Amino acid sequence: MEKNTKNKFSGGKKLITGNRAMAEAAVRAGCRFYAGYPITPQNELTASMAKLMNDSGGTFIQAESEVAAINMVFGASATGFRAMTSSSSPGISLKQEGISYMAGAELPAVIINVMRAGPGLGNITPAQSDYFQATKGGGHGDYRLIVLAPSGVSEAYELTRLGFDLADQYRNPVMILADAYLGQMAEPVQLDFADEENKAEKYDKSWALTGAKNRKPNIIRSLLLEEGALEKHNAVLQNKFREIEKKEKRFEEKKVSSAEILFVAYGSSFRLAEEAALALRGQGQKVGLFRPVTLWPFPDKALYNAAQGKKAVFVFELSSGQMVEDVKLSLNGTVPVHFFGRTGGGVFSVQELMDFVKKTIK
Amino acid sequence: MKETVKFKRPESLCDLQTHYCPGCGHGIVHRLVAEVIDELDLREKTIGVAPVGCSVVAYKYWNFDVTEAAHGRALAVATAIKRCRPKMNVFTYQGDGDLASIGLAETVHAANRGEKLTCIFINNAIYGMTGGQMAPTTVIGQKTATTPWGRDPARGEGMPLKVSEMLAGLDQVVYAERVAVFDPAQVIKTKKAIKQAFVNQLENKGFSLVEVLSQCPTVWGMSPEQAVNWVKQEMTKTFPLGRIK
Amino acid sequence: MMARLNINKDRCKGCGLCVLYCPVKHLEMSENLNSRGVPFARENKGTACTGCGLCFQICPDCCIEVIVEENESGKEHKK
Repeated sequence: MEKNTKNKFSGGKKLITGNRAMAEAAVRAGCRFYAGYPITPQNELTASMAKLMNDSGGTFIQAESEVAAINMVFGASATGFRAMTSSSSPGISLKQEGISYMAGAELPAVIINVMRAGPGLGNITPAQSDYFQATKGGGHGDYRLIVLAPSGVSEAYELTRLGFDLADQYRNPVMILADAYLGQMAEPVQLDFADEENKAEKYDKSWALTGAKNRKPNIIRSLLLEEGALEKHNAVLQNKFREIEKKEKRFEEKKVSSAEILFVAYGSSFRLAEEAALALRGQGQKVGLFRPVTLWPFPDKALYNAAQGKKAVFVFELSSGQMVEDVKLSLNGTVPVHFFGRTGGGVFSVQELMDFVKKTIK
Repeated sequence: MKETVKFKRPESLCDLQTHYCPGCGHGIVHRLVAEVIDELDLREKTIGVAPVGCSVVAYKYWNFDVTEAAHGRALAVATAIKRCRPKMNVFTYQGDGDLASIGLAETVHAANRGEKLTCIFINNAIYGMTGGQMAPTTVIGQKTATTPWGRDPARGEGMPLKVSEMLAGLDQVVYAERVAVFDPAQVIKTKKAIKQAFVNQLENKGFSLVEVLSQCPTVWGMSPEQAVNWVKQEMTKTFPLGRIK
Repeated sequence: MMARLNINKDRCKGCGLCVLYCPVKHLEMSENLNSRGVPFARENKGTACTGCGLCFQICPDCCIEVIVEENESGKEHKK
């Protein structure tokens, strides 16, 4: 295919899984290249893309490995196409070199991580233990990924669409950080009628490899050997990241102003935190909720403001505690922070959260 | 009597000093690729994929669109480029580490899928850029930085990989030829092979491979004259020249 | 003159392959050094260039242009 074809996918409200929703979002965002490798718990995403890329005139490749897949995305993006890959934790580890290369070469792409428990082979149950990998680098070198964390299927659909726009706008890879719960659970999603061709085309792609006709040759690279050139390039990248930090922080907060304690959680653990907050409020405890939507750039100032005057901040994660470090950095010692988590695919119950909070407050 | 320039630098080859060593085969093959692209009028439709290796900066020397690729991944990158823009003329230019070691899976699978690509494989039987370690194509007995006593399969160092023969076994590989650039006659044969590999892509046939045995004087510890002789007399014993498929 | 060479002496790296392969010994290495600090290939005026282009083929640095004379019918003027 030489250019985006107009999308004729039907809209309407559908009950679909998170894996499927992210695929439907991608094709409606104008994604016309997908390469992936099977890995549980995101195989339905890959299989959906096989059909959707065919139906939209795009390209689907089941790559020979996770490494090959991210490098195929590199190639597709280099030609100016909206491109995506998806995987789960161990596969995302394999992609890190390719992601670093894309950040260095300023190539847009969307990478979806449907997190599972680790480390190592781990198992296929949900976890949130790739927060560090997503937000603190993962790959080598000084770069950042924009990391979007949906907490429901409908939001997974919206954030995947947003991800493609942010990737093109800033010429940087974007990661959608989901987990096995979100991937596998089904919720209603409004699949709007597609008109994504307009959006995709509004971003400048004059840098892309399209054949050097009537212009100087384009080069896509991240190697800069001449003295001082790489430092200069890093300054350009850092300026870009400062701009993203200024403009793209996203979060959600509920009942914060009246709260005495604050729960901070993202993704699936937010759903449980929200239930625990509701139950505690029913028992007279004034609980507020803060949910980062962008894990990078982390909504530090908004969190600081939300937490001031609170007796305590509770952070809940399906991990040994990764986002909690960013919470502590944001609060800078102004409010006590308490953490509760489960690892290895274990998941806390609402009761467990409530018991922990009550015990801690005593 | 009129004077005409019979042989000169092709348009697709930039007028720049290269960083390659004196006598290195890269310079010759870069020029041949440029000549063929000019003769087939493909400059404005060509996208090259440069490897990691001494020729990582090949994009400096060619006058068309080029992308880097991570080490070994050129054929994955090229696969996607060709699938997204099938009217473009897409080729990879890779060394023996890139194509046959770290990138061997990408090589086999791109070939197996019959991607309509042209793959130029520069085989100098050693890792040049990093200072002379064993390559998959290092020949038995060849001394390198990591085989100081000479490559020996009995020491678990494996046999030299014959990539052209391996890939020829795949149905969707339509062309595999091994050539060399150790003398002008071989250079002319190499140009013919490169042209065939690009014509195959124009005609939408499957995967085409040109394996070029290439002299590496500095890292082999030889003069250019010794190096071309070593390719002619020694390398061809392990890697026979000719069309394999 | 039936053929002659244009050699970019400062781009020459002194590899000597053109000298090795010229069939009529029309190329030789200089005694003095170019701006790269190496001996460079130059025409041996004692012999005649045939315009065969083998030096062009083997030169890794595209230093050599081969210029030939053509008569009115466009054919190369060869002895």
